Amino acid sequence: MPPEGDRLCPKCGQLIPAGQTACPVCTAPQGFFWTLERETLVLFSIGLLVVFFVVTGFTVKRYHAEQEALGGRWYQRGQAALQANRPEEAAEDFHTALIYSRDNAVYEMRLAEALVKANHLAEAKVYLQSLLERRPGSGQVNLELAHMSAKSHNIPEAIRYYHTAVFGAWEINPGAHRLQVRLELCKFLLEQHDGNEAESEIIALQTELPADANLHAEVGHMFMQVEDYRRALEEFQLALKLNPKQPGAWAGAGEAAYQMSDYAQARRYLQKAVEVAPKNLQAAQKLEISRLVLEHDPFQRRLSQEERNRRTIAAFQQALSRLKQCAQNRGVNLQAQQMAGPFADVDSNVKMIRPKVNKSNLRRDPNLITNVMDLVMQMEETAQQACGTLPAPDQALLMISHTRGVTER
Amino acid sequence: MTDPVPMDPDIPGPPGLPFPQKHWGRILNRVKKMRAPRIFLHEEGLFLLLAVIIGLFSGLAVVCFQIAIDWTRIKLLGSSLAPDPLRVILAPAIAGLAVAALVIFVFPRVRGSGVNQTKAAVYIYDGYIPFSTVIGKFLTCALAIGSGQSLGPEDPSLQIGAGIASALGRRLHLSREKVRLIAPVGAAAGLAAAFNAPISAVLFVIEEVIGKWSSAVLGAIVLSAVSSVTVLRLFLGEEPLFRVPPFHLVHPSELFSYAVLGVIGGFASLAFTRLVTYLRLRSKAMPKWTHYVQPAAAGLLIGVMGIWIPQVMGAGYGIIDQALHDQFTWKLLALLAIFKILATSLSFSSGTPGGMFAPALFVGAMLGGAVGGVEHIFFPHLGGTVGGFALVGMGVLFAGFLRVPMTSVFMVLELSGNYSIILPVMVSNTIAYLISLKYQPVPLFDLFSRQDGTDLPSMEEQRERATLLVEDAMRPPAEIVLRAEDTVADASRRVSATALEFFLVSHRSGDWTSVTKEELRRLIKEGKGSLPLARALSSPLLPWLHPDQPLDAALRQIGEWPLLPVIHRADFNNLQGVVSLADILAAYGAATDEENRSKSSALPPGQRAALRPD
Repeated sequence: MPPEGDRLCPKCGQLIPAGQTACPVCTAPQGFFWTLERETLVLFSIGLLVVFFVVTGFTVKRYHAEQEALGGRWYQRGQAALQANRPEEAAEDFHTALIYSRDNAVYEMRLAEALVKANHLAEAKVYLQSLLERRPGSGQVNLELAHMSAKSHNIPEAIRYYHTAVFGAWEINPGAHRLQVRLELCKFLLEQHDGNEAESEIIALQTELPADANLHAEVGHMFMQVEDYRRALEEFQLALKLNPKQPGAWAGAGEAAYQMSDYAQARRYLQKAVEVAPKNLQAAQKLEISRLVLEHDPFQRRLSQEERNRRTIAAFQQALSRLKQCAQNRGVNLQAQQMAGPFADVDSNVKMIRPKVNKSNLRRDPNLITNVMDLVMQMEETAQQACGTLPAPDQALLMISHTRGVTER
Repeated sequence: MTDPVPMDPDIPGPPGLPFPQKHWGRILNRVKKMRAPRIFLHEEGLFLLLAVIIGLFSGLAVVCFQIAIDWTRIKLLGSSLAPDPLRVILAPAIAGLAVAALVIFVFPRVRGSGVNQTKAAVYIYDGYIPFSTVIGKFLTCALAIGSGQSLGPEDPSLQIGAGIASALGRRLHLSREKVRLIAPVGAAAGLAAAFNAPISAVLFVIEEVIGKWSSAVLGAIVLSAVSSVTVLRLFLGEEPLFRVPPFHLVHPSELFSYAVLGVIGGFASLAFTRLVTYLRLRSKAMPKWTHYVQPAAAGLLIGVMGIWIPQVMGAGYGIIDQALHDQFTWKLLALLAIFKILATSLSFSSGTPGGMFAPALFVGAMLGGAVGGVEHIFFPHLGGTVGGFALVGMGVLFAGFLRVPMTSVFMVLELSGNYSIILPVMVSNTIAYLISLKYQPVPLFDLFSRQDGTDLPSMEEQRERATLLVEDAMRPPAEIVLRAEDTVADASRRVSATALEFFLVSHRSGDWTSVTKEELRRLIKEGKGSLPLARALSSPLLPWLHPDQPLDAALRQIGEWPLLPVIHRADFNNLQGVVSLADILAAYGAATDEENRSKSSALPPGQRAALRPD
């Protein structure tokens, strides 16, 4: 906007002061450059271009350095927030970091991670898919996509991403990363109660495990969850071999042996587990049951016939006593002629077998032991159904009856 | 290379000057005498070389411009996405005062977006853009945009490029025609670097600045755009302006949502155009002293907005990027679009230099994202990404607000690098463009130029104007058409009954000649009555026309002839009509009347006032 009275030159746009007709710029004598040859001017322009290139180059270099530094600072803030479990704040910091270092895949990755944690799944998906498009084989990207799919309850997609992550490319320490991802996949599958799939993944994981007691113990617990007690026991044994003080491994091994009805081994491991962790009540209970099984099992090898008969009679009396007590608690009269419910069947069997349960009959008929122990199992099961959890001695009898074949072997 | 002229010890320095200055004078004289090899055989070659040089200079200038904006932003507002409230209020206001002072006292020609200034240079000032405008644009825009004014850097980049081109063209003593053409070459270079999208830049300059596909400048424009983008990528990296998420059309029915986006975008473009032109007119009409504080006042208002919605400040590329990545709810996106329209209208109308491209992209992305978000709520099974909608939305505002339909489509394609987005883009952009065209007959940049008191050629009007054809002006064939085989006597007998004086003569060869009554009478007097007309007449062949030719062709060809034959393209003896100069002028007159009638009926009452120059 020119001042009052002045006007702009239509040719050069400069001010023509009030009262003047000609533009002072346009009518001024031509400068030095106007008198140069055209070719010379082109060469000058190229020279100027080179200078401009150099100056811009230095400016850009400094600019990039500053941007990188700023991006780095915001990234550090984001990392701190993420570690402090403040994913919203972390996401904003990573966003800012990305403004200064736009194509930084690490920042993008962390942002996606923060977004997944903050439950901004749609946004995280966009970032992750963009990263995946650029690096389709990236293990890290596939792992985050698996997390996101898991949060979205898209289980098949999550499993697919986990698998891709396991076999994907990891820039740093690929072996450890793959192991961690497979471990995570196994946990995920266990959470989803997908036992078969989980077991095959855990078996694959077992083959890749390094000599790490913690990992072996962890895998042992996973095998326990899929009820593969044999492999679980192997893993716990490996863990104990690597670190005899490994917490949980003694109890785990004991539990695995217990579940396999290997009560002798179970007693050994559980004994150690209770010594290491006296407050482990579960281990103590299992230890007690194992001990009782070993003490009362009439089917154990290398027992004299006398001892076998004694244990059978003791087991019968213990089960009968438990049944009577239970019936009494439930207000059922076992002497009555008319009885209903579970007690009726077992009572008729008791009445039939009871007169035969004595040392002379057992000595005469070794098969009677099996019949008596069948009745013991029936009595204990009836008592358990009617009165709930059994005391340890009765549980031991139930174990003996259930695992008769195993212990016999 | 020829050797430079050897040193001439006789050339004196300016008399009476001390030694260093004398020495300098001698050097200058020798430089003047230097002769570089004659490498340019003709001006065309120089023009193309110059296009590359302009592209490189513009690319470098835009790199520095972008860095300057970013540095200013970090220094004034800080590096955080959510800056300190005090800074948010004060920075744009104080920077606004500085910008106003610079614009009023130092660089008076840097107001506005830059597109119209470049057009004015081409059509009014013979390609002249003072270099001070380049410097002024660089400084004031970096300060304004960096401080948070809601404007973009693309239009200023365009003008910076054009200014560099103009300066080089003039220094190199190009012809007046070439200097006029070189400003768009620089404009394309500047815009290409600003967008990092050469195709869109070339298309925009052709669509909005030049208005036609001229082979004379197309090569130069492409060369300069490619050169500038190469420089930009060399220094700032290959990455595009936005990180565009992957896109695919989930189901064809999703096109319906994109059509809705087109409708919303069309009306949003209308609202944006009306608001910005209205506020601009009002602010220009305010007392003169207010012009010193208008940018500061606009900055203050934007700062106040920025406390609650910091996203509306600045060019907003980062926010567009976030919208593309589905980081906002649809309600926030809609809110951002509304406030961005308001903030940009305030900034631009206050006279703060800066561009409208980035705000248009911003508003489009937010509207698109909002429509995408709503689609997710009501039609979750469609499952299209919000980013896809935001991307298409950018093109929608480009088509509806800036009124460059071709550029809008190619810009989205170029930014996304994904061809599958073409269908939604075409659907949305066409709808938005048609709505804007229907309710806003005069495009934005033409409104600005008329508000500024100039009447720059409207490229859209040129495109939309129906081309008059020969068939619009021709009359049915004359009653009497003579044949070249007729004798002069027969011909004279045939024409004697009519009052007409001029007759067309058809030849078997398909040629046409003419004869007048007077001429026939003369030939009979000379005793040539028995001769066929073909032999008796010596008049030259008549130029002929076809019905589908532009009427301009008739005007060029009619010369002194009273009539021209309009003939069938496949049968040259088949006369379809005749056309005279009076017919041509009558057709032009009727078309102009019709155009004026439709224009005045289409303009809303408030807009007529907006069109009046100051």
